[in-house]
Amino acid sequence: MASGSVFLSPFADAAAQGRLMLPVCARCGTVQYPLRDFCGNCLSEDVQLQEIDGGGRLLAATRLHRSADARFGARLPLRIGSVRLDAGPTVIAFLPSDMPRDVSRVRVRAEPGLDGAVLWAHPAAAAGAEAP
Amino acid sequence: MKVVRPWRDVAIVAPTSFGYAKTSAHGVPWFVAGTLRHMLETAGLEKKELDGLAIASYRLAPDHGASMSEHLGISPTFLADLPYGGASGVIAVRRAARAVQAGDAELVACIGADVVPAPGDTGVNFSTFSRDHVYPYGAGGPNAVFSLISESYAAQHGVPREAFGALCVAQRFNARGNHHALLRDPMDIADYLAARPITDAFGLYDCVMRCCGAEGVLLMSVARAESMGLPYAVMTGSIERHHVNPADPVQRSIWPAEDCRALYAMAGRSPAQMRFVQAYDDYPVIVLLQLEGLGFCAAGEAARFLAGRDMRFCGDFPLNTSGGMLSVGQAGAAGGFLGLVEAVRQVTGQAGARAVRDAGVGLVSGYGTVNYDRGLCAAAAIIETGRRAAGTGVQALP
Repeated sequence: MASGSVFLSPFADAAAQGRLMLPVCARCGTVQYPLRDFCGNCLSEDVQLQEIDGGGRLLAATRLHRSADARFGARLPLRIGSVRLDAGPTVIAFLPSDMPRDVSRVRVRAEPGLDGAVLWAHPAAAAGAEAP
Repeated sequence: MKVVRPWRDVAIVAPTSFGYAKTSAHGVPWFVAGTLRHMLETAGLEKKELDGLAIASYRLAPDHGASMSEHLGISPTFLADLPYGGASGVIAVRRAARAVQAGDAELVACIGADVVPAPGDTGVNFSTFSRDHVYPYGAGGPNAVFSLISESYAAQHGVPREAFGALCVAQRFNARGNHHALLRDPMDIADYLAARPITDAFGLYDCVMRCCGAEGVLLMSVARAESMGLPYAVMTGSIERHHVNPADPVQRSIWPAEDCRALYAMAGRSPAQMRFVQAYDDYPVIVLLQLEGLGFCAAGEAARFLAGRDMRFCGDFPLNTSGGMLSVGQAGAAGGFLGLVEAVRQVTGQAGARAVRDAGVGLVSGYGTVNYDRGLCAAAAIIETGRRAAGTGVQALP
């Protein structure tokens, strides 16, 4: 069992309602991603799921032309990127195929995926978010 | 401040590569056994004298080091399983050298061995973080994560594809002198650029070909190697660091500056004195990051540094003189031993057709274990001549 697997299911349930819920440390406030059921900063075991604002900065992006999993085959090339959330952690997310290359500000949303929820990063403006 | 005990009284002998093939009907133990037999024969030792084993393999499971003692018919007093991927070779020598120094064992085999993944193995279970938070994003495997690192590095520092390609082309040249290398067809920069895309950052020749194979060395005291008249290498400096810089938004640093200084200070050497570099080459960008972290040039400057140099074994900056994993193939965790074994070959005068001239001292750098979005394990070593093989000129330590 992964340290954060206990949260995979509630993470997916929240995603189905369009909400991004991540574990947050009750002691130091650190947002946990990858999912952990303890705090990777202060090691407290008291972490609770909270709704997170998905605003963030796109760090890097690429397209995959090959996949190890046949279920992705028809969707190639797939665009993915890494995003540093304003809330703290870095996430890997799908990017829309038509997203302009110069986009920096994004808003990350959790959406239902093939096996549970996945994250999508959309241009901040398109998601109705304000750049800080 | 930590005071690290030197390793100079431990000899590294019998550098061995074994069994390279694109596929094999055999499991990992067959490769381990063949490597061990070859090393013992090379050194003129009996199996019963072996009392230590350090082993790295991705596909040995459900077996492990303890299982190997039964498979191999040995009764070691030192046993280490080393799940450090690309850093496993240098780490194996670090662990085994301490065992020899402490008297826990007198003769230790360090072996990396692997076979290709079984058909249908998507790599989904490499780590829990990658299974839950990377695999669902297109199952691109390491190509996906390293593509993000490579794209980010190239954009920030203005590095064109050709700069990465120059390294691949030079390594292919080096591989032509290595009969273990599985990719020896000539390749030029046009071939590199024309390869089919794997990601936007990588063409086929930026990505290692998985294969079967094994690498290994034996460790014993320098006194024993001297008394047996064996060619041997010594590790005069070494560093190890895991999860170096969590604050890097995208991985940039593999070594903090103080580790780099400590490495050369221990050995009494400088980067300019390195006659060759063997750097873990899962992707070209990672070679560049290692060169920057290990003091050859400033951060972001590695492509320009290499552009003025000849990376062939016969050039002025010999790099991955066996061809590296990009041309030998990546035999799983054995890939983490490839540079180490090649370095020992070079400084002991056993590199044959691809010998680097005056190869008395060189650098090995390992890097591995992408748990989520970056490699976690790094280990580096300065490897020097203890005694060269007969007929290749004697070059003692200063």
